[in-house]
Amino acid sequence: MTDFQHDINIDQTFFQEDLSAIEQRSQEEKTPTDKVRPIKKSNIPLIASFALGTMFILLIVSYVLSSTSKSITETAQPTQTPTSQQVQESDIEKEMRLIESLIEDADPTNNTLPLPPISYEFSIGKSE
Amino acid sequence: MIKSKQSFFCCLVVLFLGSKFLTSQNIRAQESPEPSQTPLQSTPTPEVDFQTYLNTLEKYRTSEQQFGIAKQQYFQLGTLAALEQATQRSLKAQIDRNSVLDLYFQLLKSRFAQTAGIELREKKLEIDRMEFILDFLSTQKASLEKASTYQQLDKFNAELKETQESINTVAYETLILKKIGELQTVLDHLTSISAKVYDAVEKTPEKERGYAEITKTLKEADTSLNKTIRSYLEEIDSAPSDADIYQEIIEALNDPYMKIKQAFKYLQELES
Repeated sequence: MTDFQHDINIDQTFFQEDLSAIEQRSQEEKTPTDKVRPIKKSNIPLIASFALGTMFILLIVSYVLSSTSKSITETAQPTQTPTSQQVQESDIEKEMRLIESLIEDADPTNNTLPLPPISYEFSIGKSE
Repeated sequence: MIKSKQSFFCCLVVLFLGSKFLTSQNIRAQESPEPSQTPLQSTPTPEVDFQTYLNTLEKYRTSEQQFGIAKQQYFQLGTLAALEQATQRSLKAQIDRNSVLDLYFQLLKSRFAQTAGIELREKKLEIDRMEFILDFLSTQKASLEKASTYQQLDKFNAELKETQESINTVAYETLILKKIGELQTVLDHLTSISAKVYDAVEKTPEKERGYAEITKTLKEADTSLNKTIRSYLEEIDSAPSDADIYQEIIEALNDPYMKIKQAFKYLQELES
């Protein structure tokens, strides 16, 4: 056996040993040693209430955040409060428009409901 | 176990109420500012559909034409069959005429009741008159539906013919009062708004003269309207309202109307 052949044999042995180690590891992974602990029935309401409580807290947080962003937007765009003069002017404009339509309706020549053109002569005339 | 259940339900209730509260807050934040409260309005009388009235009138016109043809045929042929046909046509035409008058007075009453600017006593009196006519029409319709002979139909036709004058008088009176009420309403609004406009505008000698002219024109319109009302009241004391009186009053009302229009034009100029 040459030195070269000896080296090859050593390598093969090493390789085989390595392969068996990998196989063993994969087998170990396939069969987990730790088992999942079952949830006790008595703990379900506790877990549910914890989840609901968390949701509630999240809800409050989201509300606080949205209101904060709203107030920021409002600060950036301040709403213009109309002055009393502006209010009065818009009231006057509204009333002017109302009067305009009332004037149209009040036109004496505009009769929207004239007497119906009916005949009072439906006698056959035989009984007269 | 019981304690856990209680805490679970407590959490559920708190979560539900919390979400409700937050949702309502969010909706309120999105809503536009609350509109100013409008004054309570009296419930208006439900108005008869105007289109229904027009359709009924159209139906009546067809019936009237068909009666005319049937009556003509009876006079030409002189047969029992033609007489029966004319009787049936007369019945239909009278029922349709009754419906037209009924819908007309219902519409008129409803619109008149909604018109402001009329003295309440006068308004009530006119509404009572219309209700009397509506009652009469209702009674006659019930009788017509039972009628089967031409003698009965001729009798009902004669009855309505006797009330024709009353029907026309009430209708014309209502139309005149309605027009007077409309003009009075415009005048009241215009007087009120002109003072507001004057308060709002910058006081210059030109604007002062403009406001004085508006006040003068409105006063003239008021005088003219009152004069027409007085003349109308004198007129109806001596004779019942008819088409001629209606036309006369409508022409007289044109004067205050033109003055109101002029005052409004001045006011628009003053406001701009």
